[in-house]
Amino acid sequence: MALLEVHDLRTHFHTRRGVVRAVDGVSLSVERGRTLGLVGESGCGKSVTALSITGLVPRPPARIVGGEAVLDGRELTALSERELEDVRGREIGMVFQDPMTSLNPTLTIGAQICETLRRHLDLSPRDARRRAVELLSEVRLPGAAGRLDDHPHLLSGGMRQRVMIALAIACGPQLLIADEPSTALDVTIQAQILDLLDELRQQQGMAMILITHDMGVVAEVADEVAVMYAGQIVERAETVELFDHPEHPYTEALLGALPRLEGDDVREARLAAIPGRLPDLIDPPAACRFAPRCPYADGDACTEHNPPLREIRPGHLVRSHHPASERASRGARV
Amino acid sequence: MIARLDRSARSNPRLLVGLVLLAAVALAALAGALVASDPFRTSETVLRGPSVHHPFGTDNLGRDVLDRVLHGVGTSLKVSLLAVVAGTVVATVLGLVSGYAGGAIDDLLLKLAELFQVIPGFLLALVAAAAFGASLLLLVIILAVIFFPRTFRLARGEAIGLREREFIHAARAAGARPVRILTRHILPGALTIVLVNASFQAGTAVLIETGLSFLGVSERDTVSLGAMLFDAQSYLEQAWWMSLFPGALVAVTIVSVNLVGDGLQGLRDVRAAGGVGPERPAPESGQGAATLERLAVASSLGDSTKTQKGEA
Repeated sequence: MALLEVHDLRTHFHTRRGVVRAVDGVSLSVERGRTLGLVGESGCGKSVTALSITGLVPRPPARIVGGEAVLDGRELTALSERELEDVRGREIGMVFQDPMTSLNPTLTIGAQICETLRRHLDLSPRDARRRAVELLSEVRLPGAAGRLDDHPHLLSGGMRQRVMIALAIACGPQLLIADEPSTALDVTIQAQILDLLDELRQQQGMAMILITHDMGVVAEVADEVAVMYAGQIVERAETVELFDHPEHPYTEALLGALPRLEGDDVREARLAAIPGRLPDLIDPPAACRFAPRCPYADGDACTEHNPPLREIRPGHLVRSHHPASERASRGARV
Repeated sequence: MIARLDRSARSNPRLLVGLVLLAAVALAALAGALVASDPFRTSETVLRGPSVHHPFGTDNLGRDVLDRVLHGVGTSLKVSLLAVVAGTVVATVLGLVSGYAGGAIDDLLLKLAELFQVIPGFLLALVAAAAFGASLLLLVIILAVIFFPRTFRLARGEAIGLREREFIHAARAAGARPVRILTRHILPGALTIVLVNASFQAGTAVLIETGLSFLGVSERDTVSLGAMLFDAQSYLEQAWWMSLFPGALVAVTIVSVNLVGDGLQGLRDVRAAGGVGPERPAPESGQGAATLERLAVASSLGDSTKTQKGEA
């Protein structure tokens, strides 16, 4: 059984305008020691999915109305807030997008790491400090030992993200959730941070969920990819399979939106943008949610039935009436 | 902390002057309690001007004005300190919890604060004193109630502002419990503004205590500057020393705590500008409101002064 099994998770936000179905029946699983890339554009529900798993969605306005998330045999959505507090930081570590604001500016980084260590592990203050130095060296913070009493504003963005990662892995979690961990950083630092995450995952045998909107990041780190669109998973496959044979028109479009560096027409070619934007998630119609932006949408099927997530090839799931392989077999449409 | 305060005092003359003045006033109060002689002892030497024996002169009953002033300032400081500490602690704790928890708890506490807010404090004090008899304890409680709403709202506002900050989310993601988050991550951020507010309220407390005792609302066996000022009115032309010294001490006390407040506010602004402290939007009620309230109290005092004079 996989380390984390999420089944039909539904998180709704109750707003004055109506019920926003931010996460609408998401199922995914992460095996021990593997990395799942969760991809999609802003607002598609990636982060809310992660926050729902850890019980961190703001309640109210949000409510988890259905589904389950089972971590190592424990049903997380059934736990009390107090029990969840014990899981967070101990069994699930989280890294957030913006390292500039994720550390408390008034506390030293040593204090913040020790706080988490002593919260979950039975450590003396002295042992916690020693462990904090080890952690900072593990994340390769330059001059780790001397940094413990520094306040966050003395550190650069990349260094702060290293501290955040040290915090996330401090108590040896089984699962690391990294929510856009490299987005706010310089490109060169991005690569370093991703390498670091991958390396730590291997060393510690953790599983990782990497949330990103960047297909390039996914290709680099993830073993498996789940593509989200409008609160639902539209395609799930092994990374190589997904990049080689994308099935969903949205995935194809995402890959088409990546800049290419090779080829004859590189200078002339424009980036392919996806026309339109995410649909309103208040009372979405029964139609395929991607239909309004889909170049292949046609007829009643697309506007009347939201296609189910089906296994088009072993291990490759897609939610579309017109997956690429079927379009090809029926003769290419443009 | 001390070292930091020392360093900031050098670059912050208002804070320095305020602290020195306040220390002098506190020392005077201490001297009143420890070494000054009985402020109630009357003598034959009535209405004598300042002399070696009586540096501040004597009053209409032959009591030593210096002794009485020292005791009076002690009363003012005691009432002010107790009221501000009690009010600030209670209001800060409730405000932080209210702001952080939100929901029904927040609604309830906010309504409570609004209820206290609409009660005119000075009037409440007068009525309560008439009903229960004047006592220092009553005065402390009433002042704490008067001060509750603003401190509560400030603390609540800070908690709301900080609650959604990334580092609070990160702390929760690391498994921190609510009490821990409040004490370690939110309280320090709210502390400066709460302290600034408390020091301004301390000034207001001295003013209200003086005003009430001027109107006769004070405990029988304590000396208070307001009552001295009231007695002094009748002798304004024969014995200026009877009103000058207590009046000056009231002024010095209030100026010193307000200077401390201003200085602390300056520190807070510097920290905010330097980006070390958590940045935040302007508080819902700033110093302007405090100034207004001080003016309002002052003018109500002024009015009562006129009334008293009219009757005299």
